[in-house]
Amino acid sequence: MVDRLERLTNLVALLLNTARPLTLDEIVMRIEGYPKEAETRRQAFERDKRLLRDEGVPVETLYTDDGKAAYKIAADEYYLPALDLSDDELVALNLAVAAVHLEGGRGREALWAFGDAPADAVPPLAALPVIDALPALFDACRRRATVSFTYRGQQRTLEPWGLFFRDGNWYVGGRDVDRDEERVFRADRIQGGVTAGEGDAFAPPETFDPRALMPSQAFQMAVGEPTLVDVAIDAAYARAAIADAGDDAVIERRDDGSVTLRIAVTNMDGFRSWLFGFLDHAEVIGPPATRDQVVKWLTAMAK
Amino acid sequence: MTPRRVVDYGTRLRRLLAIIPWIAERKTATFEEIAARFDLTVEEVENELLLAACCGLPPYSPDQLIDLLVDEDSVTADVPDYFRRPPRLSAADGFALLAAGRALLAVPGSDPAGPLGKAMDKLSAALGGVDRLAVELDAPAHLTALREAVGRRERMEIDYYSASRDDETTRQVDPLLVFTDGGHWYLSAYCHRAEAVLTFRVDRVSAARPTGEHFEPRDVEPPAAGVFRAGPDTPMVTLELPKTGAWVPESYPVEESTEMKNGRLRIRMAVSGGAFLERLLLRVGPTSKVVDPKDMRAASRDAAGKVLARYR
Repeated sequence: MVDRLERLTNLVALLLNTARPLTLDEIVMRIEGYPKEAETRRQAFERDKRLLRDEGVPVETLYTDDGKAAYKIAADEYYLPALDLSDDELVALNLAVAAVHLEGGRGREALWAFGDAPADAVPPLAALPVIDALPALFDACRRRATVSFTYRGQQRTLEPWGLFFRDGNWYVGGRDVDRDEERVFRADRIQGGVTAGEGDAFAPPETFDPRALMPSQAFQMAVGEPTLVDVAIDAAYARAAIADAGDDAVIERRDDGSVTLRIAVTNMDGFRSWLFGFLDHAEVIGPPATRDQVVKWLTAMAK
Repeated sequence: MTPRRVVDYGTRLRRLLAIIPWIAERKTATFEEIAARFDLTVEEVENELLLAACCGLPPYSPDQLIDLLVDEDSVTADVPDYFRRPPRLSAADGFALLAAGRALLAVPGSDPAGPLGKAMDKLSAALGGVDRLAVELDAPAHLTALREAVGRRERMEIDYYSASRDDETTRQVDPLLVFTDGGHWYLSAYCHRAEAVLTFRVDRVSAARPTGEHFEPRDVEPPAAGVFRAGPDTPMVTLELPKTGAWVPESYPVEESTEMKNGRLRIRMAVSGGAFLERLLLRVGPTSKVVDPKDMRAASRDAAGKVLARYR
């Protein structure tokens, strides 16, 4: 019985060294360990091919003159490019991998192929979740390949521009092809797998700016004319509120440490959620319509 | 020591294709060295190398095989040219390296022009040119001061706001570890007031003063997932929320979440304090209410009344 690892290693060696693409029949003649029966043999080969591609081995499918699928690995795409990392850069990379824990993701094994560096014990500094869809989305961003996936029960097609991590969640942003608009999707809400198409399918913006795709505060989340709302914040909460709204939002600072912020609100539900996070340490001063709305919410609840 | 995982064939293949060039470069390596470098046991190293010794190109003549000469505890390798360099990174590995590096660079005080920043640039370039992965981390006011205090082992006096109780306290703490998880920064510290190791949210530290006193090191583990855990005394509540409260079960650990026929949500969760519950009900909006226990049904009314008083 040939171990599958041996079969896979031989398959890489064969496809990497062949002068012309090889058909499945030609491959099984040269490599031991594939089942005898035609259909199970084909399935076993398909599994091997998928595994190699998942691991980053670029198995190309080409077609012979009589239309049969044939395979090879392009040597110039197979090897790790020379990164020319200096010793201190390699140490820094090792420290990053040791200090940042990717839950359910790759750790030190991602650095197997790199040079040696001391792996000292480093105190943990950050934990980031890894969602199953992320490597596939990342690869699609890198290759500029259109992806499709199910999101909240709907089929979506996206030209992915980039991934970003904010407030404990991973997001993918880009152009939603069917809706022809910029959209952001939370990666953990993607249901099932991600299917990616051919590379170089679109041209993303030259630089990837998550803030342009998704504002960081809930009260900014919507398009439309903003309402400028003035909010008085007690001293104990002033710092936290300014961190959310930005220094530019401060229109008054009082001696007791309390402040008044002028906030551009485009999403009232988001604003309410933010405002009431301060309980009775914040008060909407104006405009009157917004203040009335807040009083209405509270009155309804106080009944 | 973490328990050893069952390793899939993909991971084993990648590892083997990294081990072979590594040995080839050295000509000879001990099993111990290989085990340490690639996170394996010595038995696993032997097992994987035994398989590799049979690999190569048809017709599998000696010049086309990976030629491994195994001594008692070491191996000497003659490797064909095509296996003398490792394959490029998989999507999962590339993602992991960039995410870890970007996260570390997002920590306030890190130097984007330093060695890690340069390594990230080279890695991004190798992975396809433009940087397509961003990590944003909070920068609470006293983060750097507390991280430095961990390094110096200096006792600090902090003013700390407790969101679950809505009050502020001053306490002396020995800062042991600062880390970020789920979008927030936490400080694990021995608190002299509570006489126990507690976890604090760094963004709720409103002042941090060095005391000039130092403390002996002690080991501390970061909480594995989510810092707030229900204790035996933590009250459980059942809430009924409008559809707009769908973010609640996504943001907090809940025991149970069901969508009712009318589209509203029924959620059972532990609440760490009265102020936490009041804040939650107000944030979700007017029609959110406590179903159980009965004596907390007035919570949303009381909370709204308290805030409303400010408008009268």
